[in-house]
Amino acid sequence: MGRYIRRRLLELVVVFFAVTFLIHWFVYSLPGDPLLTLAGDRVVAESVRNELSHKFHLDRGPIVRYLYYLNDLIHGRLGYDLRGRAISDRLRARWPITLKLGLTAWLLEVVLGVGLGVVAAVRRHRLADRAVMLGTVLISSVPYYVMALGAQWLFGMRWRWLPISGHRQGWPTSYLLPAFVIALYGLAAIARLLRGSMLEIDDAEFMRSLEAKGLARGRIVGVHMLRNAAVPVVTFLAVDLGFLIGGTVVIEGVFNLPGVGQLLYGALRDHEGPTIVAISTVLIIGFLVTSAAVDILNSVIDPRIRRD
Amino acid sequence: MRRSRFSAAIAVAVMTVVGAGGVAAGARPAPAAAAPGGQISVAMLQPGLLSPYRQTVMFDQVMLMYTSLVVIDDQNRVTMGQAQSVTSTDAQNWTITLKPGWTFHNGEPVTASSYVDGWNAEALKTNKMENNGFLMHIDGYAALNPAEGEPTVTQMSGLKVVDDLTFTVKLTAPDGQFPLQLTQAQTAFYPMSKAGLADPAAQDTMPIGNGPFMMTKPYKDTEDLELVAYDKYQGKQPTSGKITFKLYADPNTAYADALADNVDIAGVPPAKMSVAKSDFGDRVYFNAAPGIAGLGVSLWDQRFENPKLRKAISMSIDRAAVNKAIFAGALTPATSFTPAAEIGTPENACGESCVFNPEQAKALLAEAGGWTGPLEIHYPGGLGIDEIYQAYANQIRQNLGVDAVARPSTDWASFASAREGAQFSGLYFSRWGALYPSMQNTLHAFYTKEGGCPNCVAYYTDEITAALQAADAEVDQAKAIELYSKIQTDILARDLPWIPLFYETYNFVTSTKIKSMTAFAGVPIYEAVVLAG
Repeated sequence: MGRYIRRRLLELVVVFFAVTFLIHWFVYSLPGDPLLTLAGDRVVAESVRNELSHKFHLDRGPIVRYLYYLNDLIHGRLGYDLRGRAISDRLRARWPITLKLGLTAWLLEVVLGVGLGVVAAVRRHRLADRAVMLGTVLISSVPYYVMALGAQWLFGMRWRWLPISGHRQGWPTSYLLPAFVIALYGLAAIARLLRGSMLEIDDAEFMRSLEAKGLARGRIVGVHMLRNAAVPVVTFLAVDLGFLIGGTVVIEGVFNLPGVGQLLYGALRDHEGPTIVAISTVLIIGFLVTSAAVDILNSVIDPRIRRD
Repeated sequence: MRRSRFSAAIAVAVMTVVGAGGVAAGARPAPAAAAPGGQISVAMLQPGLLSPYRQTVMFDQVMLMYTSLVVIDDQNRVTMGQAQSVTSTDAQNWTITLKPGWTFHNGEPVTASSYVDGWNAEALKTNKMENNGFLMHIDGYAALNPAEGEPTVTQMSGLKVVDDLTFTVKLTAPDGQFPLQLTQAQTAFYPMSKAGLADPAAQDTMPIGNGPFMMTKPYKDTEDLELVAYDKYQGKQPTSGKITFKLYADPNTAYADALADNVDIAGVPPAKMSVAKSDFGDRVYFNAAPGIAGLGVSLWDQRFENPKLRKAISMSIDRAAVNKAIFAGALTPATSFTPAAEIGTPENACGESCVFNPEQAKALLAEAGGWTGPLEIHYPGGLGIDEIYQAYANQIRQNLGVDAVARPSTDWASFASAREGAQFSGLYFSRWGALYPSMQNTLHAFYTKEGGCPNCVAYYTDEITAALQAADAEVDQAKAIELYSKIQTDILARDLPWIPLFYETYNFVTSTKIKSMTAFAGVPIYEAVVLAG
């Protein structure tokens, strides 16, 4: 077990350096000088541009720039954006919004997705199963953006149940609708994944032994089936958590939530190198840590994984 | 489109005090009796820094927190704001006298040093202020901004404090338009309090101004921005006691919220231009702005050398049809090289080159030797303007028989860099929005190297440089207007280095709470909106 964890952590470090270097390199080789866009369609004075170029090492090569970044990171600094604002301050104001949105969506996904998956598996080929299967296909085939606008129209404008924009009413009111829209996609995937995986196990031989032993159906499903079917779902949920926190740009935009996604989107638009790199770094670390944690968790759930 | 009716009325000599408030009587609606308690909300996209020396997208908010030396009113008239007078006899040496008794929001008096010290700090290269370049015509600016190395001085030689309320400005060359450069959208020329000089970073989130509204706590860029009336304000009192700028990520959401009366004033996103009238009725404002849009020509490419070719392209575009199809008729086709909202802009300076005439266009093209291969129109992608450039390409293709294609870049930065490096050839997105309504601003932006408009055209001839210098040197505004107009009719109409298309508008919708509002240079005068009921 210890050896497995050590190997997993080493991989994590290698991946971290490779990915951050690539992002760094890509971001700064995008065509277009970010200092040209500082003042919209006006130009910033040449002298000031030179000064900023020097400050942000834009006049240096990619390797030197990357080393400066690593040095900052080792000292726990995320650096400054091209306007001179501390990126950590900007992120600190936005994380609560993104985390509230992501975790609310994730919770909805887990509760509804697992619930529907179990129902579909237990009632296989009956009405409930068919309804879940059809519903999840329908959801998956509607584009994200359309679903968001539709939800705004129905729940926000027509029925007036929930606010459609901003976070002025706090958690959970302001977050329910956007989180629900995001959760719809995840729960569709989870329900289908769990159903498939449970049915596969249902056909396994040990299930018949359990039944022959006279174990109650509820215990078979709740303990033996669900635990064995959990591996792919837990993996999915963990990966999805990373996605939810980094990939809610569209939803944050449509529902007007000034979270990290929006900051990242704006940074990409303006070629704000330092901000893109800083946000990516935080997301990558989060993503790598969760996926390592999941692998370790999976190896606990299913000891066969350790022997790979 | 509002035409300037004040062409000859702004001689510098008359720029003295106009009433205690600094604004001509009757220029703005009188505030309602119950007004000070009133509140309005305004949609805000993309928050940025608030220091007047660093802001580039926060004009509305910063303009409410400061009063500029000179103020353009809603009728495009030049009036005095914080200044009592701005005078000069040679257009190069200016004396600015301030109104007494004004204070910053923290109680500090506004003095001549508030300007001189503030501008010096802004101009110093090592302070890295985004608006530094606005001060480049003040004598001594260059010493604070050497191309290489650190500056050895920290004060511009052209600025002198005479007494508490008087200072002088020496410019690098005569400039009769200087008073107009001191107006409200030129935030680089605002004063700075002593507290602000001591802590410049604090000004980025909570500036200490001398204007009608103030902040009570530093701004966080995930929240709404609240401004409350400053009770010791010496100028004209605002019609509302509080203005909240509500943060939106998507202009379409803001527009929908205005329709639902959740926000009082919002901009009109490009996609909503055609439905705004039916959605809001008479609560839509298409405000004439001092902006002009057209097509740049890559003059670095020899194929565009012949003015006849450029004229042929210009005459092949049916501006009225594009206006109707894309802009719901909200814009005005351009007939000159400067926006009509700039004081004194002549009508039809462009002449027949700006009039749709496909037959003559084809004839001119033939005279110029025709065109082979595709004619590319480059524009920045991701701004939602694809439809517009497709329309121009269609017009040229249909009416001139040239294979015109619209080519978006990936984003603004890559367009700006490609343009700066002359990396493409053909026609390209080109516009300029002036921050003060003088023809000088647009002409300088376009036709001088240091004009600061990267998307204009590289048309810098000795002829136009000399003509601009002569017009700039004129203290008499009527004569200056005549000279700026002559540059358009004599030089630009002859060579057509740039193809004018539309005078821009800044477009707004309001909730039912707003009865009416006026504008300065296209931007609502928020402090003077008239509330309904």
